Amino acid sequence: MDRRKFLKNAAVTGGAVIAGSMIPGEAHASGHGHDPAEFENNYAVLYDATKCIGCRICELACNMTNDLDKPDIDFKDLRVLAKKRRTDETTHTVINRFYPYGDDARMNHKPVFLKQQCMHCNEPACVSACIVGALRKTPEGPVLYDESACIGCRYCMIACPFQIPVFEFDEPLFPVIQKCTLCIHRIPDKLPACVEACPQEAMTFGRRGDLLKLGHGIIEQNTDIYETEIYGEHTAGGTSWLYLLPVPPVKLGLLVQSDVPAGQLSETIQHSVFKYFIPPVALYIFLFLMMFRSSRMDNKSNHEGEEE
Amino acid sequence: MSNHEPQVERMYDKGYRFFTPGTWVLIGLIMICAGVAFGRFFFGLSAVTNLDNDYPWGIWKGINIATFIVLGAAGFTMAFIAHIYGHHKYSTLSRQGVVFGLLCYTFAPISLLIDLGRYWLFWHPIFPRWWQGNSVLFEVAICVMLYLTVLLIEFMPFVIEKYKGKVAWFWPLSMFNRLTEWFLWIADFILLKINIPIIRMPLLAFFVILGVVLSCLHQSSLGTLMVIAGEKLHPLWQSPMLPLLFLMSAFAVGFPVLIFVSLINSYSFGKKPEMKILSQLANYTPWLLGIYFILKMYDLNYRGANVYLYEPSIQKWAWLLEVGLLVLALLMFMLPKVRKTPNWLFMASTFAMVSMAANRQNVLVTAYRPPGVEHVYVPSTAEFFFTVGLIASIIVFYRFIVIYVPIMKKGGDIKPQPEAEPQPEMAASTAGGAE
Ligand code: SF4
Ligand code: SF4
Ligand code: SF4
Repeated sequence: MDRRKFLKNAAVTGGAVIAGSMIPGEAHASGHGHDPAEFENNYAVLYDATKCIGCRICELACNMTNDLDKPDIDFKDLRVLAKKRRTDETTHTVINRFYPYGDDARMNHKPVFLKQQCMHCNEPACVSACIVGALRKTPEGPVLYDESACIGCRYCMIACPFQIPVFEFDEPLFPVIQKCTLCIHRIPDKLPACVEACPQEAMTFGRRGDLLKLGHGIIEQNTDIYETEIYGEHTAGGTSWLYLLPVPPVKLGLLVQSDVPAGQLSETIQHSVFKYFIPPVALYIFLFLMMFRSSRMDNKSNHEGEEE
Repeated sequence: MSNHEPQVERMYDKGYRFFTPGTWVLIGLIMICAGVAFGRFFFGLSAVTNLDNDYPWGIWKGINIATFIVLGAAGFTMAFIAHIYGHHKYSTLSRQGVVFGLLCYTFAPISLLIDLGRYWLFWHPIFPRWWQGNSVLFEVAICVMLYLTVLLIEFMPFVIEKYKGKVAWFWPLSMFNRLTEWFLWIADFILLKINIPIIRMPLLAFFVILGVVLSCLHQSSLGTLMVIAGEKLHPLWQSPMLPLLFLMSAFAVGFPVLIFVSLINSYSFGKKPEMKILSQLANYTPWLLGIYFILKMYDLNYRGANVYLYEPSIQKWAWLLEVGLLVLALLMFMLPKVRKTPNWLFMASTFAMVSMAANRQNVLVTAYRPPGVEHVYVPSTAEFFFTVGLIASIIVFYRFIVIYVPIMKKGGDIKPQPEAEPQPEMAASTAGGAE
């Protein structure tokens, strides 16, 4: 069964059931339902997977610009591509190699590489989840982390559908969450380090609206090369990293398919339960009346142990 | 409420003492637990746990928090039936429920403190500056914190009843005698002595209601917690109905926990099991468990997730174990014979509790399987012993409170009481229960 479909179905019906049981009427109370135009001017990067040759120079650039720990295996060593990797303490972006064409001889068993880093979602699940608001979506686009607020609960890691945030489990006292910042310390004067370092110029930095236009233009002129959709235009509610892909996203391990932001459903449930505090207060009053009634009945029926 | 206070006694007066060989074994386990905490504080989480970037949450969340909290439901379900619904015959059991709940809700946050990466900032969620209303975890944290306070307030009357005017700490705490006395006096005055006009209820009553409301809120939110994980959570569990299922299971498990605790109390303090009242309590349980079971099945079928029961996976077996135990408990509770026989009732309650524990562990940990991750999380030995140590702490503290604070029903002794040894009364520690 198609898990995505089933989840969506479930989301709609179940969410309505719960919201309906808590308050009659309107179920939507969250701050969602953003207009895509809101994100037009966000900083964004368009990544062309067909240009990427898997050289890992972006990983190195990311490591250097963010002053991260040195990895055990040097960035020049391409043998690491044999295994699927995720972001970690040494680099906030990773390249993975896929063979989406399988035995298709026409394509020469060509590999396709995919760069992964924080997608800088328009409506990020990590931000929705963070217990203290240590993660926030800046109006410029990047999703940023504030270590002075973070309590290290790691709920953001549970929430992120792309499995991006990294936590320093070996730090006893000052562990922090790490992830791509879209090189906020470099822009707008300089390009993000990975974008600048890429020898293939596989990435274009710019405003989200412009990049979407650019991307669609490229796709139109090369319909035989690219998938018709830009991954990230609508995915998970839209993201700031946009991917031009030669094959369907699932073949490159991009399993997030839903266009609904991951945080939406839980926010809807939560806000329905707390709408203007009506449900909790109503419950309180109901219980109070119940208690009042039972205490009255006790008084009347001259129960054992009565004093008055 | 106060006119229904039950006939209770503390076990100290029956000659029972806190330290026994069993207590020492438990204290040993707690020392191991402290050792693990030491390791975590000096060498980091990775030194003692098997957590990593792919599996950021482990059994310290699934058991130490989610399970403790669902078992702590004994407190609010008993408070509801005894004080709000007005079945005062359950008042003694309600005391045991409050104490058990209090301990569960004390050790869950203690565990959280050790699990938090930046634990020294644990207080952030309390202050508006860091409030984040979209975060389910924030809501859970606030409600649990408030409810813990309410539980302490509900616990105060038991202490007041025994120790007001009689506080006698041992040296050196004896210098706090006056202070404790004052504290008890003020608490007594505020909570019990002021009778609100017209409705004629003490202030405490309002806290009891508040406790039930807060419990409903955070028990259900605990279910919402994992909704945000979306497809990362196995479809056998992932459902927008999770909050409702969590709430319902908390309702359902409250009485079994109480039955379990009460039977253990009776066994270990040589009393006859209070079968009459426990059977009555057990009569509600098949209904509650049944509603929960039907909801769970309905949810599963409605989402079409039952197909995953035919696919091979670890999760499938975890699910079958959880639901199997639930069905077993449900069937047992449905039999009148089980509800009337202490040993059977004990077994049925245990099954119900283990099933709920498995459910919490499953939803928070087992069901979490991020895409593309090949390895699976298995708790480390240290994680395991830490959890064992926390459970031991709950037992030890429970024993301590039963011995020094009157929460057990008077009478019903079957065994000759142990000789009261000429041991200096640790009344001190008693008042320790006050804070
Ligand atoms: S990709 Fe993950 S970490 Fe990045 S903004 Fe989206 S939810 Fe947050
Ligand atoms: S680990 Fe830090 S950033 Fe992540 S959710 Fe918890 S407090 Fe927020
Ligand atoms: S934008 Fe900067 S932080 Fe993000 S992956 Fe590229 S180099 Fe790393």
